[in-house]
Amino acid sequence: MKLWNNYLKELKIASRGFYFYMEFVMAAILLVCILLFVPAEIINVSQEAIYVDMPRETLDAMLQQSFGETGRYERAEDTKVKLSPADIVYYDEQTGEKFEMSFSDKKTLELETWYYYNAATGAHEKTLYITESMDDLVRVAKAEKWYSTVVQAGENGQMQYKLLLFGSESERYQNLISAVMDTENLPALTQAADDLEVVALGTENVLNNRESYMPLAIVIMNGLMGMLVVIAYLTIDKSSGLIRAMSLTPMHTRSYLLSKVMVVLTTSLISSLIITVPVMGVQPNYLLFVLVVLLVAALSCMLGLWIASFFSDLKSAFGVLILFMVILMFPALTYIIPSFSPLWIRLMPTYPMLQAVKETLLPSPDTGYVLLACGGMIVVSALFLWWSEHRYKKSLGV
Amino acid sequence: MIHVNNLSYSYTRDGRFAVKDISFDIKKGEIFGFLGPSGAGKSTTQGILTGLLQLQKGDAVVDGYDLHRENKKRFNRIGMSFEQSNLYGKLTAEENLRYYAKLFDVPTRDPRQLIDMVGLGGKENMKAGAFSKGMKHRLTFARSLLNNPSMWFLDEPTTGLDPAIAAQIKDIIRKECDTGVTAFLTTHNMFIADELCDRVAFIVDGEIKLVDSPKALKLQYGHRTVAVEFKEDGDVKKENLAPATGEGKARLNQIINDCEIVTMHSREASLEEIFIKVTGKGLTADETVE
Ligand SMILES: Nc1ncnc2c1ncn2[C@@H]1O[C@H](COP(=O)(O)OP(=O)(O)OP(=O)(O)O)[C@@H](O)[C@H]1O
Ligand SMILES: [Mg+2]
Repeated sequence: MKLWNNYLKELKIASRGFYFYMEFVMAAILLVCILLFVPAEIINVSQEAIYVDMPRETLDAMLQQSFGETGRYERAEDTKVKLSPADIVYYDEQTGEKFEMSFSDKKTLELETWYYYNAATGAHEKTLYITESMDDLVRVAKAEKWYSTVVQAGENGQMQYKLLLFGSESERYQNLISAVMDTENLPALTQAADDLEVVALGTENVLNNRESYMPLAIVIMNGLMGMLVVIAYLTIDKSSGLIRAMSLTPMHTRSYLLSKVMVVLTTSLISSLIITVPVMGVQPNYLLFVLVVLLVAALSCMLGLWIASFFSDLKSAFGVLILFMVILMFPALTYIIPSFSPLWIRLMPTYPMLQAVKETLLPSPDTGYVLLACGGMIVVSALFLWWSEHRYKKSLGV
Repeated sequence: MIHVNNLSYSYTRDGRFAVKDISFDIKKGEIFGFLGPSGAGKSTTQGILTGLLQLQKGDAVVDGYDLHRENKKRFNRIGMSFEQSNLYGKLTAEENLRYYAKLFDVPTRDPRQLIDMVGLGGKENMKAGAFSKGMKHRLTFARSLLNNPSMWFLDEPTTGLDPAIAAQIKDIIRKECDTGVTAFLTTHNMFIADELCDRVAFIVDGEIKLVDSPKALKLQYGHRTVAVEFKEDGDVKKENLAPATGEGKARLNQIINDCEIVTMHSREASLEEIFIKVTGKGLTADETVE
């Protein structure tokens, strides 16, 4: 009851200060940025150049038939590409044979362009550029970094696809190519490449691109703000001598620290909702979401309190605080690039924070994991509260 | 009310003590003055007794609570008027007191009545941040009475106040202590100490040099002096004489008999003079008085 009164008091005092609104302003700015600059879907249109070393009818037939089931090609406006003089080296995908070519002229190509639409989603997935000579294919592919394919008649009259490699393709792409070498099947190959992309983004296709940034935004904002603001509140009290006046009342140190933390939890929750509701709508499980956000903010506050207890004022604590924040943000890397997930990163508190926030945003969250993470955060928060309390008891008054 | 035994305190814990092995007792209802120059260890002693500083060495019992054992409950009966005012600048005078009052588990006084008492009536809705230094100081002083303390710590309660307000504060202290409140007052203002305190302790360099009532000190150390202005050979001359000494008495008689007296004042020795005599130190500056 007393804690509640104290919290209301602190809330009222904080609401007359600058830090209280700083969080909301930050949240609003973040929301605007997310809505304006982070697209809901990454439009990932693959670009392919092709040279068909066969009669035109063959090409037309291919455009009409080859993907009939899964999609369709539509003629688009021609694309202009400027070519400059260049020395180009490329390799035959199958034999590994090396070719060297040298071009000294400048020219502009008008490439016949086709769009490929997925039959199921209707999405424009690929753009196909048709070149009229092998030379043009090599130059365009090199200059624009497009996939490039030569289609030739095989010995038994079948169409044969051959990729050009320039030695600068990513390792992943090269591995992929060697893996599917024997199939000689370009559609399968590009499909495999697309699948790999999906895995690499780690969104499991449930959060769209914009939504998948929400856990990051929430954890960074709450973590950063939680630490900074709670310490700002404490330092204000300390430098004004108010903390001495407080410590000469029956109020317990813990009660004092908690009432400050509760104010920060309030602002953190509000600012998290400010950015989450407009982006996520009704999809998240808000009960779980609120729980996780509060615990994320609580743990950050406790860590901040603990760090600050080693310093006499905010200024001297600042460097170490920033260092801690940077280190704690390493799991963000793993979140973005799941293939980079060493054990030491997974052991950091921000890792389960990110994963737990993400779960709550999914249509069907893994409640067990979320509750486990919550339990962990409660335990660690309590530990740091106890530790900080112990440290502040000694130095609160001085 | 307060028993202090062999109390020492070192900020640096390196053998240099801010307070060295001091002992004293304060009775209930007493106004006890702690006098000494800047840096003598007054605030340090007060800090230990209020619990702002940890008890390091020695024993102290305040209001029945042994300071070796931490007990937050004792703060329900303690009031502290800080030397440097510490208020919520963003809250009004009344809110400041109201919020602070909520921190206690005991009935508290009416904030408005306290605000009136220190002469801030009509300003209760003003933000404390907009107060002048003296006004802030008075509000901090008023706050220390909120929980009806039985043990009242006052750190320089009148420093920096204009004389009329200082007199008002002095009256309040007098009145409160008449109702049985015990006060521990630190100051380097000897007049305040002289007028208010039942007993005073002289503290220099962390050591208590003596404890007694101002009256007893004056009887023991002070000599009444007489300042005479007189005409001798056409010039006006001035002398300070102590009639209690034989030499002074003879000289005074001589002047009265032989010269024309212009003015003559009898003056009591001030506590400050006694302090200098006892400790060999001045009160306002640290330099030794020759
Ligand atoms: N926080 C601190 N850290 C280290 N030394 C301190 C600290 N506070 C006070 N001291 C030292 O302890 C000694 C006693 O200081 P204290 O504040 O008790 O003096 P005081 O009698 O209250 O003086 P004043 O009249 O100026 O208030 C001084 O030498 C001072 O330098
Ligand atoms: Mg002092």
